[in-house]
Amino acid sequence: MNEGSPGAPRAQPADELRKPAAAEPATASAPRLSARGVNFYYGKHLALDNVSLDFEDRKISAIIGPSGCGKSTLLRIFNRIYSLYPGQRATGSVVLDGEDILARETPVNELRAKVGMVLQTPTPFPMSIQDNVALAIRYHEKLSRVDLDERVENALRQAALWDEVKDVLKKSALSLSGGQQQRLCIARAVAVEPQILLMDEPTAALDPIATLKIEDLLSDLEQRYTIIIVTHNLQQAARVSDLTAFMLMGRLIEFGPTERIFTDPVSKETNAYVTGRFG
Amino acid sequence: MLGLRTRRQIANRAMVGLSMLATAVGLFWLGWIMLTTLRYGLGALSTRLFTQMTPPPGSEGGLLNAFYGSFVMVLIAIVLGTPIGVLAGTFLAEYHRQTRTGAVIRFVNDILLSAPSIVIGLFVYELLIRRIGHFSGWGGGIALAIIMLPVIVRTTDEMLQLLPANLREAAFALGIPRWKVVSAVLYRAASAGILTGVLLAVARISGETAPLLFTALNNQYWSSSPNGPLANVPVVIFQFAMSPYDSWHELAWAGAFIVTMFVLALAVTSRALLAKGKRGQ
Ligand SMILES: Nc1ncnc2c1ncn2[C@@H]1O[C@H](COP(=O)(O)OP(=O)(O)OP(=O)(O)O)[C@@H](O)[C@H]1O
Ligand SMILES: [Mg+2]
Repeated sequence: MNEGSPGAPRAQPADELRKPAAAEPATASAPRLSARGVNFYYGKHLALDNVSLDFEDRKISAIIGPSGCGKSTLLRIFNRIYSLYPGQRATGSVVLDGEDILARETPVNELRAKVGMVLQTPTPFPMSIQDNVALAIRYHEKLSRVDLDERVENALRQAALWDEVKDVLKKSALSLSGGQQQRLCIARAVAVEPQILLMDEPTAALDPIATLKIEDLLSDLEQRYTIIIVTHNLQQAARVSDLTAFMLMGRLIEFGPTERIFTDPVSKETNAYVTGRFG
Repeated sequence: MLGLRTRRQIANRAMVGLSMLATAVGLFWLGWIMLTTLRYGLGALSTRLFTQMTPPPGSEGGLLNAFYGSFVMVLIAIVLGTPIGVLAGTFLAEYHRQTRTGAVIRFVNDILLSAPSIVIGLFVYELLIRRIGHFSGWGGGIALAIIMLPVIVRTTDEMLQLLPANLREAAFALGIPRWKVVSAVLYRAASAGILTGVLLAVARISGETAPLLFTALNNQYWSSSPNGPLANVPVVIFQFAMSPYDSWHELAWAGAFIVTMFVLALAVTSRALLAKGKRGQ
């Protein structure tokens, strides 16, 4: 898959690069989320090896890297969704609002209200469009009908879906197109008013036009949320993100402003990957 | 030596032929049963069947009290068996998917699934009927509920486990607790499958005779309350078929025809439901 033999010797310099790379964006503003020395295990298999990085407030950070390098694994730590599965385990620390979200006592549902997630394939719930968006709001807050309707509308507007669905709110969400379903999932995630949005290849299952719509949407969402997006599509990372992290075989190789990562990466591996020589 | 391709083609044809034959054999018996019950029951198939009580020997009548009794007992079974079965299936699928406890419960449930229904009838007889001292429709309903239970537990468990992991993750990612994820999202997504399980369970109990012999027994007259013995189609069929009277035989055949049709309709409905549920996802 990845060039196995050259990978090992090059790991040494990459290790050293990590410190400046991680420190680099911290000059701009205080981090919203910071991971320190994170390891992740699927049973005994180590999938993330000592990953440290800071995500900046209201910026879009892209995570890129070849298949199997641990992008999804990293993303799934930030809302502790991995903890649904016995045998999956993270160590190290991830600090959000001064609290370590990996700590056992962190209430996981409150964490997930602060850290929303959009998955690769659209996952509409089998209920009306309106109920899809309202479901979580109803649980987290007790709102009047009017306020609830307003929140639903607001969320759908943020996801650039309102105009398309405002007359069919009572219709089943399953009747929407794939691209609309994915925007519904974004609306559902932002409806709880999170601080951070995690997106794991949110356009991988969509056609180019639907993809473009979502990409446009991201720059609007950036005004309100800290966005971390995993993508296989390098052009997409270059187009939408402010910062880019490059991962390889469970380790963070380089993290910095997107433009620099794509034009003048420090690491040879990053360079090889962004110029399309492997991955 | 034949070429690989030819050999495969022959093997394929043979398999197709054999499976078609097997299907035909299965359908043949079903068709024969339906035709036979129809032929012998035809004389009794009239509106009288649904308007008159089971007659005394030698005179004419219908099966109204038996249909009613069966309906009441199946209803009791559904009302008791469905919630318990669905909750137990949920417990297995959502809380003990891969645990030892889950494995043990599944095993015990499978044993209950294949337990002879007469044993369940005896069980309810010993536990309830002997204590209250008389046959009762409640006892019949309870015995049928116990027969339904493992079917519903199993289908609920399986249908919930079949849901895509994505759906579950997307729901949990909203920060809503497990009970809410299950009740608001997963039940809806699995509803067609769970309903299918209930319908199949109803199909299974509608022809059960043995457990009713020990519990509801029979009642020659109209009785609207399940507090006492209650007429029911399977036991009436049994009693009438064993009798020496031609008019009773006809009624027994008619009852058998209607029960078979009912079960067939349930099976077809549940199939259609399941297909519809799959398309909806
Ligand atoms: N549920 C799991 N159980 C065991 N190992 C897993 C599991 N999920 C992922 N892995 C392993 O962890 C490593 C990282 O996987 P991950 O899904 O994070 O990669 P990824 O970078 O998201 O890849 P892709 O681009 O293909 O989505 C891989 O080696 C993978 O085989
Ligand atoms: Mg992935």
